Amino acid sequence: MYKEFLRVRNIFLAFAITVVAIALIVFAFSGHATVNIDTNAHAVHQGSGAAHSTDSVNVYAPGVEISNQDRVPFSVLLALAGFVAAIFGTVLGTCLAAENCGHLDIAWTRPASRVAYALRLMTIDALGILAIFAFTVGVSVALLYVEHWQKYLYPENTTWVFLVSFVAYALAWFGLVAALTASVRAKAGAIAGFSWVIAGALIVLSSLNLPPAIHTLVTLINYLNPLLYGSYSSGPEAARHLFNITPAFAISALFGITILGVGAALAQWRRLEA
Amino acid sequence: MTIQPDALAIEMRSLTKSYGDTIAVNKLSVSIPKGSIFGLLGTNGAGKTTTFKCALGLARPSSGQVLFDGHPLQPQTFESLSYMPERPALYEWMTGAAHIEAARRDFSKFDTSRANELAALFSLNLRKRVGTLSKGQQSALGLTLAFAIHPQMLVLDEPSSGLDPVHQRHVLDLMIDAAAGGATVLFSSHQIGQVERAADHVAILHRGNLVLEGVVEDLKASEKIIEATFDSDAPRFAELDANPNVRRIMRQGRLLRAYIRGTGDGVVDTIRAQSPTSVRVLDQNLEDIFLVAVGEN
Repeated sequence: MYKEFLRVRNIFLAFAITVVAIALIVFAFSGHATVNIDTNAHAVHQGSGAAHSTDSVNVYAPGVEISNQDRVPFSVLLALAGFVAAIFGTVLGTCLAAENCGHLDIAWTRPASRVAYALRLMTIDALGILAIFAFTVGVSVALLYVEHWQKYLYPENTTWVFLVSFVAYALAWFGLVAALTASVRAKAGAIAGFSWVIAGALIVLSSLNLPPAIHTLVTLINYLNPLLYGSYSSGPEAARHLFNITPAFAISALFGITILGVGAALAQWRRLEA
Repeated sequence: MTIQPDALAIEMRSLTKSYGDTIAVNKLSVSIPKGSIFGLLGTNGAGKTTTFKCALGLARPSSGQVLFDGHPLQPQTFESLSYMPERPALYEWMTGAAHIEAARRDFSKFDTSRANELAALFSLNLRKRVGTLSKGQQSALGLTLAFAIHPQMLVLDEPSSGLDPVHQRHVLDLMIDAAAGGATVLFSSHQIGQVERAADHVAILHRGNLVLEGVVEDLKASEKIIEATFDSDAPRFAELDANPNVRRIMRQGRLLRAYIRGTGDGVVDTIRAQSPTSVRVLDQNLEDIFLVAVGEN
């Protein structure tokens, strides 16, 4: 498992160094920087009173004019972290496929069952995803404080719902990609990348006027589409309405996809041959 | 010779592996005594690697059974069994030191100081990434990891592959040393001289079939070459063709060479009856035995 720890650590460090470098650049040039945060999130912010679907907050550096006085919900940062963590969930989801590329002889001759080995691997990956999520939130908050923009953030009563939801979102992508790539020996990266494209296409298809049979099929497949449950922008939000999905259902579904994905990945991987 | 079951380290019973219509290993039954060095010989595609993979659960046998110390393979078996595949399955992006650390965490009996000694023996730079090492150095790292858990059983697929002659000799010495300490070594090699030097038991696979198995010294003692030269082209011997102890007859101009089982007294008499200019009875080496065994198929 030390191998997987190193793999996750390397990915995390590469990400952290990149983010910190970007943050430093933003900080260094903050006198000229403008950050536009779109808060198209009306469905999930009903009752919060502060944000509206068309609000846009233009935040400038200290001493510079602020064009819009509206504030931004803290959940925007969680959405950002969820999206970033989901991308890394997609990358880390190829963990079993990475073993398939010539390493099974060493992986399967450890004193552990294949399932135990894979579960340990995936646990480390999941912890890595959580670390990336927490790091993204932490850096975002730190940057806002450094730039004195924290006053534009406000907490919501439902922040914890977003927290769980976006963590589950990243884990669902991990589970989905693990299931899609567990039995492949090559091109796992391409499959992982295309999974986002196909997920987006499925969302679009669900809103089209298709023949009933195809529409039903697309609808059913979409229930296994993390993009349906974890998106924060107006498009997929509309899809949420289309599917009449509550936050509780979304969280359950995302964890369900994670568990199903991991289960499917294990079932495939333990039956492979080196 | 019958070996008591409790004296067996590895026992393969009618092990078969098919890929579609192709039979890679066909009803292979082999008993490997504890503390022995067992060489598995065969041409390319003979089924050696498939045999190892099936034995170690890396591939599913179509039928048959493999027992380790009398028990089916369990994950815990690998606490005392090291496997080194033909192509070291190491992670290219990790250093040698990281592989050693990973093995230390996974194997309860892993001996880090032993690993460092072995790395020094093979002149390995453990700070280098595996991807920057030559094939021979990668093999050396694989061997370092395999021997550093002080295994009771070692399964080594072409362990000398890519190594220079000096390090090949180290590998043989390590295998002999491990066996002297009570470990069982099952290995394959294309280098028959190495097998002859290290192995006390040998099995020869050809196209998935076991064509010969036995104690190396017994095989060599029981296999002879009768070499005869004649004034003109070597004659044909109908009696020799029908003799079950004659494995193979080779004619090359005036030279006749018969590969036989046993002392070959009757065969020598048959050949002498045709008045050759000379007749010699030679011991076979393992290479002769291998070539005859494979040629017979």
